[in-house]
Amino acid sequence: MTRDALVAQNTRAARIAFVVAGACAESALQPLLPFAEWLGLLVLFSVVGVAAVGQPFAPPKPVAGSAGRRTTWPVRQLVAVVVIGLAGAEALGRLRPGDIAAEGRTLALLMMFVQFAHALASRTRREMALGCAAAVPTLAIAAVFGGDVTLVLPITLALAGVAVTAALLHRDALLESATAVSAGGAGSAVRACVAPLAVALGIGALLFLALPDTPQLRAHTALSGASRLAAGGDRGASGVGAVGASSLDLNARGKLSDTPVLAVDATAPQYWQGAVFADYDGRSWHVSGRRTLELWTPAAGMLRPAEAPADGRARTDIATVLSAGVDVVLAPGVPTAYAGVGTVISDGYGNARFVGAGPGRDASYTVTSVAPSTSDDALRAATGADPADPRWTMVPADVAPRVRALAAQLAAPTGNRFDTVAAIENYLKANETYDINSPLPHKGDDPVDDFLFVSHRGFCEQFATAAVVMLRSVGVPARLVTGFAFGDTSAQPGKRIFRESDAHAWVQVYYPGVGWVSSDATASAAAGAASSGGSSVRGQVADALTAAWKKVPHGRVGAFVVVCVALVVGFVGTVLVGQRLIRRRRVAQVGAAADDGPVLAAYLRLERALAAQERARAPGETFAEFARRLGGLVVGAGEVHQAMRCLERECYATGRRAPAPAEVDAAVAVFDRLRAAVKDDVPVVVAPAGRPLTVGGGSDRDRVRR
Amino acid sequence: MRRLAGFRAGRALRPVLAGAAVLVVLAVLSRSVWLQVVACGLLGLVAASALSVAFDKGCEVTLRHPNDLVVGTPVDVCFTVDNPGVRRGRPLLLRYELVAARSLAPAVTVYVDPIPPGERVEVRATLTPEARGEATGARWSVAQLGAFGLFSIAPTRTLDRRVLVAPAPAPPVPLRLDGGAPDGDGAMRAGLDVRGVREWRPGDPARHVHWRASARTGELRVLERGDPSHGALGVLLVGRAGDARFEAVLAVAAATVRLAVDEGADCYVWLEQPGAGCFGRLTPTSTASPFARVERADPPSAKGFSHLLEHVGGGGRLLLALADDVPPGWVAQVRDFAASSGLDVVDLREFA
Repeated sequence: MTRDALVAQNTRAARIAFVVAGACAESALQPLLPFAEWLGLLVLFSVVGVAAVGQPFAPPKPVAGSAGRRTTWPVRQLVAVVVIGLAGAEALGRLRPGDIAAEGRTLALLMMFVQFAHALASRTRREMALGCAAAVPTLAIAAVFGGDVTLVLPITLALAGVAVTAALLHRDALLESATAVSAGGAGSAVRACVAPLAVALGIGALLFLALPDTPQLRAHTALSGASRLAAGGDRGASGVGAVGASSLDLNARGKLSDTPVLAVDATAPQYWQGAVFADYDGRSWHVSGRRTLELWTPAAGMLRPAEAPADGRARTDIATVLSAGVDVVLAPGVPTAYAGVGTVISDGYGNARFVGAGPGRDASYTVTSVAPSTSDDALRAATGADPADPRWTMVPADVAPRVRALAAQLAAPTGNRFDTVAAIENYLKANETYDINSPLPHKGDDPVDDFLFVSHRGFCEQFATAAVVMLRSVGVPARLVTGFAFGDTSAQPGKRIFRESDAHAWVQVYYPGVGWVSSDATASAAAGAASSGGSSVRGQVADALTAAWKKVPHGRVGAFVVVCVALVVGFVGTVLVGQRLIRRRRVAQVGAAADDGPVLAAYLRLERALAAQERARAPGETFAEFARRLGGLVVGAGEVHQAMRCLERECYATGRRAPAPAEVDAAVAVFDRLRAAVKDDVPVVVAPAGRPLTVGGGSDRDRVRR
Repeated sequence: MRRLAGFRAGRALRPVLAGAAVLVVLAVLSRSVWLQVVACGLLGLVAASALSVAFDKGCEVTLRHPNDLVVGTPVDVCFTVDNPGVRRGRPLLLRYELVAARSLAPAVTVYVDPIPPGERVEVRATLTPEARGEATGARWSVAQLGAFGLFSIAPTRTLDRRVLVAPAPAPPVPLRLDGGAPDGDGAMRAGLDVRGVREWRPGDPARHVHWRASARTGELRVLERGDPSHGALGVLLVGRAGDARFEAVLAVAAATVRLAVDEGADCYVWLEQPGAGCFGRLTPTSTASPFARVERADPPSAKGFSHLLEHVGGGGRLLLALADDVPPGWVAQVRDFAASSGLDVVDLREFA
C-alpha cells in the first residue's frame, strides 16, 4: 500500500471513530431532551459525519503565499459558525434561571449542535481532535443532569471512541510526516488499542471504587437507590429513629441500611404507619405532642384513644420486632389497642409511642388498628364537617405564593376532595421526578417551592410534603405520615419483612364521614418512573444493573475487592490461555505433511518437542547452526551433524545423492533419542541461538534494545 | 529507571489531565457520581497509556547508515527491527539525524507499525544531504509510542563517527595534463585529452572501449588519451561556507581534483584556517575530505603559499577555488607569483 493510500485509509478510520465517539456521547443526552429532537440531531450528526469520511485532512498551517492569513472561509465552516450561533440563541431562549431541568435541556441541545458543527466543519486534525474532545463535556452534562446507571455504557463506549480517534489522529500525523513508513491498514492501529482500553477500563473502575465514600463522593447509596428519610432530633440518621422521631427535617439526608426492623404476616397491608406529623413550619414537620393518652399499660391493659375513625375497619395484627430501638407502635392504621411489652401512650392523632423501653429484639406485640377503606365513589361523595382543629389546614405564612397558586389552579376544575387529591397527585407524577439523590435546596429556600419549581426532583418526603402543603393551601385537611411501605415477602415464606430502607412518607387526607384516608403521591411517581422505565430497554437495563449493584456486599469496598479479584483472575487466565495458544501455533507450524520422508518426520517430531519448551530452531537459523547447538549429554556432535546432513539430502537431493536406508535409520534414531531426552527433561540444547550479524560494506551498524 | 530513560509525555496529555481535574472538581461540587465515573475513565486512559510503554520490553533495532555522503545524492538509511518477544510490540518512530554545527541534511524519520512477535521488518529511508560539511556524529532514537499518543519512550543513541558530506557533483574542468608524448606511440597512459581511436590491446580498461567504433568495425576499439602531465596539481581555497558562489566553485574543484587523482595525478591542497594552515596531499580515498570540511578559508600566508608551490613544482597547475569577495589585486599577485614559478593558474570561478 502506498503512503498516500495508507494516510487516506487512516484518515477515514479516524473520521469514523469520531462519528462513533460522538454518537455514543450524544446517546447519553437522550433523557434530557424530547426523544424526537434528540433523535433528529443524532441522525443529523451521524449523516454529516459519515458524509465527511472520505475527506482528507487539510494541512494545519496556511498555504504558502497567502501572507500567513486565511482570508476566505470555506462554506462548511461558515455554516458551522452560523449553526452554533443559532443554537446558542435557541438555547438562551429556552433557559429558565433557577430551573435545573431546563438548564440541562439547554446545555444538552447546545452540545449536540456543537458536535454537529464539528462534524460539518472539521478540516484539520487539530479541529477533529477538538471535536472529539467535545464528547467529554457532553458526557459531563449527561452525568450532572440526567445520570442513572445506564450511563455506564455510553460513557465507556464514548471514552473508548475518543481514545481510538486520538490514536488514529496521532498515527495519521506520523504517517504523513515520516520520511518512510512500514505500516499496515488502520485495523492494526485499532487492534493495538484493544488491550490498553481493557486496561484503562480496569484501572478506571478501580480508581472509582477506591474513591472515599464521603457525602461529596457518595456512590453506593446513590447507586443502590436506598431511600432516605430525614432523621430528626437526636436520633441521627436511623430509619427507625426517623420514623419515630418527633420532627422530620426536609433538609436532612440519611443513610438507611437493609437492617430488618419488623416482621408481619405476608397478607398484612403494605403500609404500616409509625408517626403522624401535624405541624409544618416551612422547613420541617413536627408531631403535635399536646395530648397524650395512655393506650396500654401492663397493669391497666388496653385503653381507647380519643379519636376513632367514623368509618373504618379494625384489624388486629401481630408484629415481631427485629431490631432494637423501635419506640413507636407500628400498625397498618391508627392504633386503637395494643398488647405487649412496655407502656404505650397515644396523642389521639394516630401516634402511639412507647414510654421507656419498648419491645426488644424478637419480641412480638399485638396491635389493633383502624384504617378507613372506602371506594373512590364513596370518597367523592363524602360530605360533612371537617375537624375543628385548624392545624390540619395550617400552612406556613412564608410558603411561596406560586405554590399556593399552583394548588389553586389544580383544585379549581375539580368538584370534590377526592378529585382534588387526584389532580395534585397526577400533577406531581407528571412533573416531578423521583430521585433518591435529589439535591438540597439552597440555604433559606423553601423546600416545597424548590421541589415544585426548581429541582423537580425529590423522594417521598418531598412528594408528601408538597402534596400536604398544596392540599392544605386549598383548605383540604391533610397530614404527613411516616412508617414503612411494601417490605419484602420473599425473604421468609409467609412473612413480610420491613427493613430500614423501606422507611417511607405519605399523605393522609381527611374525608368527612370517613376519616383519614392514606394517599401516596410518591408511589405513583415512583411507579410511573418504574413502569416507564420498565417498559423501555433502558429502564430494564437500569433496573437490572441497580439490582446487581444492590447485591454487592459491603458496598464500594466489596465492589473494589470483587473487581480486583476479577482482574487478577482475568489476567492469569489470559496469560495461561495465551501461552497455550502460542505453543499450539508453534507446534502447528512444525507439523509434518503426509509426503514427508522418515528423517524429516523424525526431525519435525523433535521440533514439536523443542517448540513445546520454546527451544525450537530460531527463525533464520540454518540446520548447521542448529546442529551445533544440539547434542549435549544425549548424542555426540558428529552424530547430530550427520543426521542433519542426511536430512538435507533427503529434502533436497535426488538420485545417487539421496541418503541410503542405513543413513536414514541412523538419522531417525538420533532425532528420536533427542526427542526422548527432551520429553525426559534432559537438556539437549547446549547454547542459546545466536543472532546472525551481517555487515554492510561501507557503513556501520549499531543496535539498541530496551 | 534505566528502562524509563527517555520517557516523554505527548502534547495531548496536559489537556486530558486538565479535563480530568475539572471533572473531579465538578463531581465534588455537584455530588454527581457519574462525573466521577467520567473522570476516572479519563485517568484510566492516561494510566493505560503510560503502562503500555513502561512495561513493554521493546525490540531490537539495527541501524545501517552510510559514512560518506554527497550533497544532492540520496542514500539509504536502513532500520531493521526485530521483535524477539512473545507479544506484538508498540508502534515505533525511528529518527536519524546528523550532528553538525549547521544543518547538513534533514532528519530521517521512519514510522513502524506494531510488529508481530518473532518477526523482522526492514525499512529504508532516503537521506538527501542539502549542504556539504562535516558532521561530528549522528544521533538516532527509537521512540516507542504509547497507546492513544499520550506517552512515549525514546532512548537516544549518539554515534561518534564523523560523517563527511562532500560537495555536490559538478562537471570537472577539462585540464590538459598531456606530458608531450608523440601521438599514438607508446603504451596508453592516463590522461584527459583524446588522441585517437585504436585497436584494443590486452590490459586496456573496459571503460576506455569506444563502443560505437567497435560496432562499426566489428572489432574492439579503445579511446586513447594523452599522457598525464609530469607536474602536479595544487588547490588553493579561499572563502566561507554558505556562500553560494564559493560552494559552486568548491564543487567544481572537488570534481576536478577527484578526476585528476583517479587519473594518477598528484594533488596538493592548502587551507588557511584561523589560527593554523592546513596542507595535505590528496589520495583517492581522501579527495573529498578538505572540500567537505572547509568552513572558512582565508588567503594563505606567504609561507604556506610557497610550501604549496614547492610541492606542486614547475609544470604543474594551480587551481584557485575562491569566493567572489577575494580582492582582485590579491588574485593578480598570486597569478604573477605562480607564473614566476612555472605554474599554470586556473581560476575555477570561470567554470562554476
